[in-house]
Amino acid sequence: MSNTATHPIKNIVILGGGTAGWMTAAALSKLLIPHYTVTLIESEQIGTVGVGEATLPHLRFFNQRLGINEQEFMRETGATYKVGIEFANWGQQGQAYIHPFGDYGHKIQNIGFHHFWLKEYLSGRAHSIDDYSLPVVASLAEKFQFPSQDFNHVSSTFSYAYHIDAGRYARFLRKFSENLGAKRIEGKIIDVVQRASDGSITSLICENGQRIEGELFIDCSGFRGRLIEQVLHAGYEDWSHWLPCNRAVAVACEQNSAPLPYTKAIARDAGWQWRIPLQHRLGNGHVYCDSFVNQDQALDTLLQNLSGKPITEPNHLRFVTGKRKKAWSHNCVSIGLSSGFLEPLESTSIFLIQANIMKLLELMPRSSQMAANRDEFNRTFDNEMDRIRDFLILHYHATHREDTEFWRYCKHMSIPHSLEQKMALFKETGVIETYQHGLFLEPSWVAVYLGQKYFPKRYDPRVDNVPENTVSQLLETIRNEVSDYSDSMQSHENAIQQLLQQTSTRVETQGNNLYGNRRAV
Amino acid sequence: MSLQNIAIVTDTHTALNGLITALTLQDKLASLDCALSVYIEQAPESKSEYKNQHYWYLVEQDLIRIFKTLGLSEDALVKHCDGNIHFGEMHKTVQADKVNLTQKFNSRAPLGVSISGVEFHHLLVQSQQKEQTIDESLVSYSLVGQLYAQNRFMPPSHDKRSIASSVEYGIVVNAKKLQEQLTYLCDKLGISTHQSTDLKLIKQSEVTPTYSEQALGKVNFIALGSDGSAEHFPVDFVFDTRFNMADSTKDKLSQLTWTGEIECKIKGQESDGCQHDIIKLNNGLAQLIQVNKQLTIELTLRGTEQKIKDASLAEINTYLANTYSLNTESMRWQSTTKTQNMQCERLWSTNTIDLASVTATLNYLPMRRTAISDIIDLWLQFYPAKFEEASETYPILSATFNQLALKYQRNLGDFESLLLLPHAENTSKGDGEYSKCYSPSLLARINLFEHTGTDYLTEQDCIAPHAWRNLALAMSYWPKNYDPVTNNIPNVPNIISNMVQQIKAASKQAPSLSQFLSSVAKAS
Repeated sequence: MSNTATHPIKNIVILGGGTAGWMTAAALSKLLIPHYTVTLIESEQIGTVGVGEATLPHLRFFNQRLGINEQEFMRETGATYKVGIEFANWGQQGQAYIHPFGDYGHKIQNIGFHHFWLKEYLSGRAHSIDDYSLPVVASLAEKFQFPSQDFNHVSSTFSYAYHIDAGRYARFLRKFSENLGAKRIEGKIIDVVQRASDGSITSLICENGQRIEGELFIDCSGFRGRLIEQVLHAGYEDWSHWLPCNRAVAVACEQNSAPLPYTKAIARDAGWQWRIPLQHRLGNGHVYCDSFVNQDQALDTLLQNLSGKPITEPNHLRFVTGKRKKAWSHNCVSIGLSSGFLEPLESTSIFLIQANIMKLLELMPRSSQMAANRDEFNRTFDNEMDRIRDFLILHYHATHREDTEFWRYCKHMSIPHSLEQKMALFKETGVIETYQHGLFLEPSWVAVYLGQKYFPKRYDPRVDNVPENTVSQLLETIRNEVSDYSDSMQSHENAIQQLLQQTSTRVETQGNNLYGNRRAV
Repeated sequence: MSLQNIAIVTDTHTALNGLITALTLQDKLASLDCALSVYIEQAPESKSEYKNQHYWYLVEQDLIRIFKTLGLSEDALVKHCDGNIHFGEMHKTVQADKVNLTQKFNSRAPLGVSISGVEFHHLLVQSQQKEQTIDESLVSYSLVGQLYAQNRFMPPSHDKRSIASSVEYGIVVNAKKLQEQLTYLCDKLGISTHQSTDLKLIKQSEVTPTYSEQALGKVNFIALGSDGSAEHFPVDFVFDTRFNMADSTKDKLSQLTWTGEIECKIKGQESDGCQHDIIKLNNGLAQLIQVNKQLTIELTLRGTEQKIKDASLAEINTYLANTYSLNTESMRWQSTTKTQNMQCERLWSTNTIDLASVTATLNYLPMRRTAISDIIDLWLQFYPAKFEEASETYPILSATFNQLALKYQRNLGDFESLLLLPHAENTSKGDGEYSKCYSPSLLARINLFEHTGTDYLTEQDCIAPHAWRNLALAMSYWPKNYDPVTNNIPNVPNIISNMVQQIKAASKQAPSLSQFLSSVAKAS
């Protein structure tokens, strides 16, 4: 068979049935069946990582596209609402800030709010910048209300996501996919058949001898990359010199108090600990670097810092932070951990799964001639990963901590040139370089810079053209608006109770936005 | 310390760009206490640049809004500048048989609407593959297409549910009359304008040792009188629209360059005796910066030293004129703006923004954006304080700005290439050479669109995705595949036909374009 022969794509095979596998199967089943067949192979003998439990608001868009009812989804997955992430001890021991799914204040005369705040801060008149962000104030007051669509009202200035039980979400999507015609095969792959002419995968052979043929393969097999790496040798770009944590241990514990509407990321001596509140339990984990702390010490740190009684056995994980050099190679697309791993500091795991699924759908090839589709997929994936990587490194590098060897390393390590430029620009001018196509935009960078007390030398000079009392009044107005509206919001606990008890008639707002609807300038 | 004096340095050839720059700054810096001054170098031999009445300028929506805010209404623009409506362009393609001609409309507005998350053009591609009849001219799939075809006009509706909200247009005006209006507007707004044949504006960093003794202080440029005397202007920041003066010209990456008998002139506006005002050497290749008269040139595209073909400016003018729906016989393009796709790696150096490379041709082409306005918006993101020699601030601000500006220029250059090169290809000898001149990013964009029908997303791309799509379709880059989700949309032919009917019905409600124009002309 010549290299130029084309093979129409009709059969899509997904290897692996964790969150990535079933999210992929659900989307493809919903949008492509009956014109394609969708088969998922998974083995109960091979466990799933099952930790990616904190999500970003984009998941709502994914569910909407699939026609999944929010209320049903939340009941099935034991979900709580989430409007941000609290980072404790990152900039300095004893300090904490929230990275909200929303903005701080709003632009004034088209100048970023943080410049005005910086002027007030430098003159000693500023309240905490947190006071100007509704999701931060509401989070700390343990409040939750759905954002409104009145773009001129403070209630529209945030977005929300969920904390979910990822295992339950996978099971929910399995049922969803199978109802739509996706085929599940229980089995373990022992061999992979490739086309001699071009190396493309043509079939997977199961332990029981079953042969599963396809024209397009999705590798959701996790870290090992059973197809993308072990068969196609797509290569891996190791970023562990910038993101040195390489181990994690996860334990669930009892939820002894009302769940918080935000995730916690608490810096520890050689890594950080997550706390993810679900309806029925609290997810906990300790991400660490084994060059600075051993497995027993790491587990001990985690267990000592649980807020409830452990209810699962510790699950130890190893990983190398980085990305697949070619997330799509030949006729195989990697989705989930097989495409790369970024630690869950900013809840990007499920987002990246979703982003790759959506991109694949957009670029779904019709035949084996798929070079253009593949190149574009890899280009956008690389861009996304590079940008998220830089944002994650910022958390470690923009620290003032020198109290442990790990933090000294992070503070003084070399960083990617792209991040170096961004940090230098902010330090010198207070300007944040923005981009159009990326996940974390200006409000997120403001949150981390200012939250970790990484202050610039100056603010936008145009701020000085606005009379000082006008600035003070504007800031006071925003602060009052935030405070008053937060006071009027219901508690997060109530919001969840309502969800469980009532039938929702709410019209869902667009979920593909991290910050809500930005208010008019 | 905040900027207090901003100078817009321009010359007779680029005065319109200078005035647009000044007014855009006036609009965007309205809240700041910042004085704007326009300095126009006037060449003695061409006191009246716009003596020919047939130069046209396409005013895009971003400028229409700015002019309106500053007091020049859309009606006044139409009335006083012989304005006409631009809904898009009809592109003519000679088929391979060299006999048949196809026409495709490059609409300013999106085609159709997206259905179930699928962009409308995928429905067209599917229909075509299923051998269902579609309107090859694409005119039927947007309200502006129908308005164009029927010579009608209606303003866009603010009601997003109304089909009339899809109307998008630009206004083509007489450039000379626009310049008069803008000069008047600047005067009214208190923007000082200095114009004299004695003005010879030179950046401080460019003056020879003879002048440098006089170039004291922190001024960015000095004015040389005819007797060689120098006058310093106290400015904090400069926008330079001239084609030749900035330091950064050495960084310009010309994509349409001149080769041939070249006499190199390093700076200034001396004529080299062969009708070009300024020629600069760049890595052995020369750039034709300005041309006063039409002449035959040999084009070398993208500095590849690959000679493409002989063409004349007159021929290029014809290509451009053909893209317009107006009376092409009366249309000519400014021949002073024949630098194509120039890109500058350092638009911002010290305290000067060199706007020449982004204004070279773009404002005379239907780019959907005004590059001056975009660049000023980008600059505002990096708004500087007063320049200080030892400060770290300027280098860091300008470096980031320049990186982003270069990306912006590349995107705009790609859009321009896509607009011009296939057209040139299709309307001339058709030897396939033009597509070889595409930049790698444009090739990737076209390749992706042809294979998948999807958008190629890049940073600093101010051209809307639908504008890229419409242009590619109008240039006959038709996708081979469509979004597979289209297969799950029931009754695609009915959806398309209903939409076409609705568009037609809406267009019939609109008055004729001539009625509209005459009603504007009659209004006081």
